[in-house]
Amino acid sequence: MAQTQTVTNSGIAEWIILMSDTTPAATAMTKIVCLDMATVCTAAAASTFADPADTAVHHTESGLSIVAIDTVAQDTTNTAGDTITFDHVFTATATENVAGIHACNDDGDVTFVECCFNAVLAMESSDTLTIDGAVVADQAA
Amino acid sequence: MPEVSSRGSFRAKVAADHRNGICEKCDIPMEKNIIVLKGKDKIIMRCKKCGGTTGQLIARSVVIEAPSPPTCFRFSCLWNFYFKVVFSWLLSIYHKKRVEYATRKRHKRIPMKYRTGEDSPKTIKQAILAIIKLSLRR
Repeated sequence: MAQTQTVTNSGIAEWIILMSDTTPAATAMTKIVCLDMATVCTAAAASTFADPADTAVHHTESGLSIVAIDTVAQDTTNTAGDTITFDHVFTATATENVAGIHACNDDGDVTFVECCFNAVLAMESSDTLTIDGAVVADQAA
Repeated sequence: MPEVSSRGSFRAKVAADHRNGICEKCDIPMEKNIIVLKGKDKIIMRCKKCGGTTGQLIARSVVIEAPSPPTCFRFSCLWNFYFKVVFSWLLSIYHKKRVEYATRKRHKRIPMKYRTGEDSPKTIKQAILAIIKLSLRR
């Protein structure tokens, strides 16, 4: 299975709420969490914060739980300012499997981006996981 | 009723580097440091000799771009697309096996191409051979 990554449907809905300024209020993509699963998962647009891909769940400890993303910035891929980049470094404090990540909103209840890695990463204490992600809103796709 | 006409899309790209706690430059174990970032404590690994925060690479998980759909219905277009799909499928298998192998051999010395994913197969034949080679590695 290839690495799979997708912008989720719930993430798009959150973006639309952000743009339309309607109730309930939405929050921007500022948090990230690692996915815990013993086998490779497949990212799906239908995944949500409460129900990640396949049987994956969010890590809740060991340095891999939900935290503020180190850096979120605007960037350019094709058209000026059409990209959001996010970079984060996790440091594991115990032996854990990491199958992927969720990039989430500030409230920690909506997933914008789900990514499942090529293979499950067997993290040991003091290992780091550097995430370098981008979301492109592309007119020329 | 307003019409919305666009071929736009939202696409996500993510790369992930899995590294150990040994300084990439000095080859010595790094120390855990706690810094305050955005009002919260964050653990970072830092080398006491050079101050670097980058450990040795164990494996890099990479994005494999899906082939673009064919732009015409000529047999040659469809045939080319078919080969691109097969190549992407084989490349996916290669990278899955590569990351698994590199993770399994995290304490051993192995060719860097298996850790970085660079110099990966460029053709179907190369991909098949690379997969067989990886399967034979213990």
